[in-house]
Amino acid sequence: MARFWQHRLRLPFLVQSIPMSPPVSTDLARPKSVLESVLVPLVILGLLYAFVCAINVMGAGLKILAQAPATEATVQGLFARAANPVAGLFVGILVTSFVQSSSFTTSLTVGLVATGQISVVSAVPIVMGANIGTSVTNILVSLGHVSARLEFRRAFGAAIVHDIFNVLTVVLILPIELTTHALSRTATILASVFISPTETVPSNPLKAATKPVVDGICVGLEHLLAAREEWIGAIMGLAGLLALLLSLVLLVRVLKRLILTRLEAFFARYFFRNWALALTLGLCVTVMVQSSSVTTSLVVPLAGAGVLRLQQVFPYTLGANIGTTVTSLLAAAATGTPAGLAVAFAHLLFNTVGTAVFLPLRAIPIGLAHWYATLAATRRGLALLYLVVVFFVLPILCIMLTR
Amino acid sequence: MFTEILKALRARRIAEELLAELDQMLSHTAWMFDRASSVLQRTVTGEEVRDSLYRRDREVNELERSMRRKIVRHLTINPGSEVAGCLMFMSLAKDAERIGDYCKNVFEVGVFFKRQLRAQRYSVPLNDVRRQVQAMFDRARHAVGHADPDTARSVIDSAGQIGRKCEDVIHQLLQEHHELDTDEAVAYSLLSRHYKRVSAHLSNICTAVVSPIDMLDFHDEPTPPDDPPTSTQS
Repeated sequence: MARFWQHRLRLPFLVQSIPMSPPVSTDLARPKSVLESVLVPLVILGLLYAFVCAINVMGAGLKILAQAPATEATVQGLFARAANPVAGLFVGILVTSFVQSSSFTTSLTVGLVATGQISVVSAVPIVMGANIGTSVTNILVSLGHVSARLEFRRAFGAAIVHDIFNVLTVVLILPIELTTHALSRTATILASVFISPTETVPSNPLKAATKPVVDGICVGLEHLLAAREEWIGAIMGLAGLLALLLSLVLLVRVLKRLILTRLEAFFARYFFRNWALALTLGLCVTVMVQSSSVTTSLVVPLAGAGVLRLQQVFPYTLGANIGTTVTSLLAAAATGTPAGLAVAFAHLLFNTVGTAVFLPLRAIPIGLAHWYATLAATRRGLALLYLVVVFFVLPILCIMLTR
Repeated sequence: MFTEILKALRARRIAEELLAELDQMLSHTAWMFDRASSVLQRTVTGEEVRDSLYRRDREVNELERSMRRKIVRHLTINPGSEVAGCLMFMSLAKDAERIGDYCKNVFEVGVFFKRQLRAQRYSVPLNDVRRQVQAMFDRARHAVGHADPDTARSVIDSAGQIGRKCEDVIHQLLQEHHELDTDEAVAYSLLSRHYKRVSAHLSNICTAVVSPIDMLDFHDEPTPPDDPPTSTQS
């Protein structure tokens, strides 16, 4: 059977004067030439390398800052605030909401723990907050449906069910963690299976691969800035942070283009027909794209259009939550420290335990999401209020109050 | 499940999938029209055909829904990609689904009107029309499947002729001075209407091959020249 798109130059309706935006062609997602087949994997590997380098450059910079006499006290004071679990939780929410990437926040946290700026116990609430903050993207996407009430109710429900799950899991696990440190202890034990806690010089192929870059930047800055080590630390820290953000954003963009158009057919109803398939799909797609924001925000318009129901979106979201922990595991592998790995495992355990508890009890988060979405559909201001209060006003207020 | 995963991994591009489903819809409706016509001609009874005909109609409806879901999915994952084509397929799916509904209506005329259609001044032209419409299905499938503008134009022309013939039947009925039972007159007028609509929807589908998207379903207006729009037009 001939294909319309092969005849596009002959079919009059495709060359008419009706302005059409140039298609974001599926052609781009399917490398047609040998050059593209070689180039795309190289780009991905390059970005992964940049991500790993960024973690280590940032970590090295922070270490220098923490040890430099001029900045030692300031750095210690700054990170001492993170020891407050409430502050840590809301810092995690706020940073993730601004950056719209939980992977960035968790990778940053792993880097901070690996360099000893904060402890594993202090890092766990930050990671929990990152989980909550990541659903801001879904809510922003759902606001695109605000003009059609029923559609908005479905889309907004699909967006906030992610958030409600994360909040419920924090409400469940954070008090247990604060009183018993069960999560951080379990994560530390798990990490020790892979990296011995007594290892003083972590031998790690990723760290070895990035050492030339870290050392090169350090030496280069030393030559430029003479003996001003606090400047070296600050520049390296900031450069690492920016490079971390940039490499993550670009990596997700490339992977999204490469993977999602190929996986379009997997978003068919078959793969959402039961919770196990939906969860597996969410997990696998998120691991491949390296961003839960991207994969969970995809289902919001599908839910809005009525193609997927809330009951189908929820397990998919849980899978995406688990899948996104791969990025923090990757960051931990880059640092090669048991503490960094413990934070990554804490992230994984938090999402896994939350799934184990709330998947059987899914009627609760789904019911809450449906209820609030119905309210917000009749009074659209409630949706905006939810967005602004939960992700920005409340975190800022709580951080200020904990000072 | 393994089969479904393989199917997803080997999924064709959206246009191919949508074309395949549209072709299936046209195949189902061609069968439905043939069976409904058989009931009218009393070669089969309504009871023999009813269940399978309605089942086919449900399949046609499900295919339309499947096409809509694929389009929404495609545009969600690839925003801005092939928007015009996707909108076109939404329209074509609607036309194909309507054909199914009209085929059911033809079947219902055959079931509710129990006697033979005897008035030759009406039954002969309507039989001609029926045969023409039946032949249009394969031509429409070919036109769309192969993007063949010549076949598409021939289908559009046929629809125009069928429309005029059906209108002639209606005019004649309205000016009927001879005795004609009411139920038979109703049957002829309904069949005229249904045949005209089936041919019109097949023609609408074929306009996608020869017309720009803003001219979809318009086949009695001349195609505008490729001039830039004036300030009053969008």
